[in-house]
Amino acid sequence: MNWTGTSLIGGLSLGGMQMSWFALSVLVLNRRAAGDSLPWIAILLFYPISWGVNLFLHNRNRGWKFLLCLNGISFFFVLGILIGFRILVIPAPAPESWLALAARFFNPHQVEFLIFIASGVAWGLGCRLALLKISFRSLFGELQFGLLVLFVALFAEHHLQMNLPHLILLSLGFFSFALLGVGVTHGHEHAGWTASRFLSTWVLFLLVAVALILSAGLLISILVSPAFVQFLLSLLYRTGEFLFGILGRILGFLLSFLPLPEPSLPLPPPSSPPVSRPEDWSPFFLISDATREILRVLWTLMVSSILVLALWRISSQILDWLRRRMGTANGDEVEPLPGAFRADLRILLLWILDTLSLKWLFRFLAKRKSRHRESDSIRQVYARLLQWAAAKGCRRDLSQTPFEYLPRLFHFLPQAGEDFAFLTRQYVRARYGLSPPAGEVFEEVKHRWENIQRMEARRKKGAKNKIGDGAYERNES
Amino acid sequence: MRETKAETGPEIHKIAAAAKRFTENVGRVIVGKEEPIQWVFIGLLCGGHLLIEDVPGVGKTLLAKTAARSLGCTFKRIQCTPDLLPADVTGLHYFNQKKSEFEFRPGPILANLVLVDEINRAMPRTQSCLLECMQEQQVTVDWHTFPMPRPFLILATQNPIELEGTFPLPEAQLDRFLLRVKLGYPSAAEEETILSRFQETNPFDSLPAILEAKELLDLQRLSQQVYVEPSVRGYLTALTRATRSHADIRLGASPRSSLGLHSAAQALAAIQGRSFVIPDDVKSLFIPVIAHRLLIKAEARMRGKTEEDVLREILERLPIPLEEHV
Repeated sequence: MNWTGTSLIGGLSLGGMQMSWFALSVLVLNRRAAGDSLPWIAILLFYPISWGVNLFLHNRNRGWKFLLCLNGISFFFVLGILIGFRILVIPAPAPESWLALAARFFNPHQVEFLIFIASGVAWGLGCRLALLKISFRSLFGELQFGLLVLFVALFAEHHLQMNLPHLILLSLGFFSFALLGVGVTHGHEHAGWTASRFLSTWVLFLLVAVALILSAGLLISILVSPAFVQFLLSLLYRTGEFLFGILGRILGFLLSFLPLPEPSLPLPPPSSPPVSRPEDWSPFFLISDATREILRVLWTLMVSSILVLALWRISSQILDWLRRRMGTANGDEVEPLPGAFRADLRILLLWILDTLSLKWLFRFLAKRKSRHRESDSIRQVYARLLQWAAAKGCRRDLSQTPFEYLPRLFHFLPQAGEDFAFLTRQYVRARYGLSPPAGEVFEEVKHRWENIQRMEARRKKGAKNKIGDGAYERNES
Repeated sequence: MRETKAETGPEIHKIAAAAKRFTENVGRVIVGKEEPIQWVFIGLLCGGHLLIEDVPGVGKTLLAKTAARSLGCTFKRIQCTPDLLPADVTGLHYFNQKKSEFEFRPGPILANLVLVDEINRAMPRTQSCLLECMQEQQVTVDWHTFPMPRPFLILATQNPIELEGTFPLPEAQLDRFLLRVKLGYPSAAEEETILSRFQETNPFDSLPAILEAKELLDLQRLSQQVYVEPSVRGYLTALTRATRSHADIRLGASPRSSLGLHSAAQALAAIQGRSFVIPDDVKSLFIPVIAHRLLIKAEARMRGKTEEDVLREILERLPIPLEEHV
């Protein structure tokens, strides 16, 4: 099977899985929150439409902002068309004006609001299907998420006794699509048993296992009836009752050997002599409430810091131990890596700042700090180069030597090829050589490193301008 | 950019220049195969014995002969057969009737460079007589111990395909070989060059010696001075130790192999004009130095794994000593 076929089957499976769990969720919502008044088939229609629209838009290769805007417009456009053609039927009588309809849509207490939300989610899922790269990983992730949603929906259905229609059909559909997609992509990525030499043996095992499960299911469905289950439960109850009865008798018999405790008299309350204070007594030093409050905050901060520090130390010790254990299990020698935990924490914080669009704050701080690093050695410059490249998505494998990593850097930024080569050569000399490089070498290294950063910034700017020019040319034409 | 003297001094450049001359000289006969030729020179620099192993007809014996001819040292050849006896290799004491006393007649092993052709065709007892020579650089005959001439190198060849009438080398003997060199088939262009080069005359006949014994000893001494940074040494040790605890390996690499890898990496660095070893040197020599010393488990072999595959796995798994915090 070629990749087109695999991606087709993978896409179909992913779509099928999403449709199954989403339909089940909409059905639960329909029964529980909307009193069976949601036009759920029309809501599900948003999914394929969104997929088609996004596929079309994605091929135009514009920026994500453009995609987002067009998605919003398309969604409302489709919503209007479906309402206009009476495919999406509003359960309540139609309002007089569009304004009133919009007001009803955005009222959380109305069924219309549920329709709006559900169709929005369907649109988003369709968009995700169109943009997602089909792989074993994505399909497996979808399976995990879908299982969770399915489990929640099934639990709700059972607990609230909703008697939903198509429940078994949707569940079976979900698992069939999941098995198909996960199996095909796993096999295609040469990671599974379908790619191994023991294919026939595994197929035989699979067939036997499926046959056994089906036979067991058939046997259970024939044998197990409500009366049978009732009988089993009553048997269990009787057995438990009998066993606990015997246990109680044994305990009673053993307790009869123990003497009964004598009743003890209550102790008198402690008496203390009354404190006599002179008439003109006043405290020598009185801490004001505000000071007390500040001290309390400081004390809390200090205790919290000590606690955090202790937790930090303990967690780093545990991580170190785990790493050593894992290394021993793999048969490797693991060198201690001081600062790795801190580096991980830094990366996490960076990611959080990036997510909150506050990365500029970190950059500002980092820039301020880097001003004091003028006397950094070549090794530190190379370390910064590695961090910089990793942040740009060109991460070095741990088993790659600097010279093995160099072609990747070349590929990443071809304009700076010579600079990368120079930095790598000098770093290798400084890191593994006996004598340190001369002073002018270090100056040259710094210069080249700045040059690389400038080139990257220029490339980024150029790419942005290109997109802008392209958009302008298209508008002009 | 200015290079410091210690980094690429003239001393180290002597080795690089000798390596270039050697490669060019051997290259007059052996077409292509720059890497195996370089490994042979590494063996010469380290004073380590070489096992040249491949299918028949790819030039194993020719490579060994060409390498020997390129060195102006005493050269002897032992053609191993099942009826070869230890005394045929080491020499023996015979009774000189004129002098009425026993005299020692040295065997072919007492030479600077010994080509042991088809070593696995000799019987185990004959193979075993090489153990002392290879490790301790001496040979004992009738309670008399004779030191081997310096430099002393064994270039052994064997064919791994034919098993009939052969005696596989024991692990103790394999461990004494510094490197296993595999030649492989030549490419189409190389094969055409071989045909045209050997059409009229054999270039081997007119091959000059380019390196004297004393010069080689000097180069060996220089090669040992190449600096190995502690973290690179740690990486090297971690690699060999990883072979001892790998799930697919029954017998891992010995401390002798660590020593061999260490000196081979030094030699490679010197050949490339560097006075310090980098992890690339260790990585590129890890398989040729270690692979023949390992025994992998039967189940791994049944899964189609070879020693080289397992070593590649180890190389891909162990981190390189680089900057911390990255």
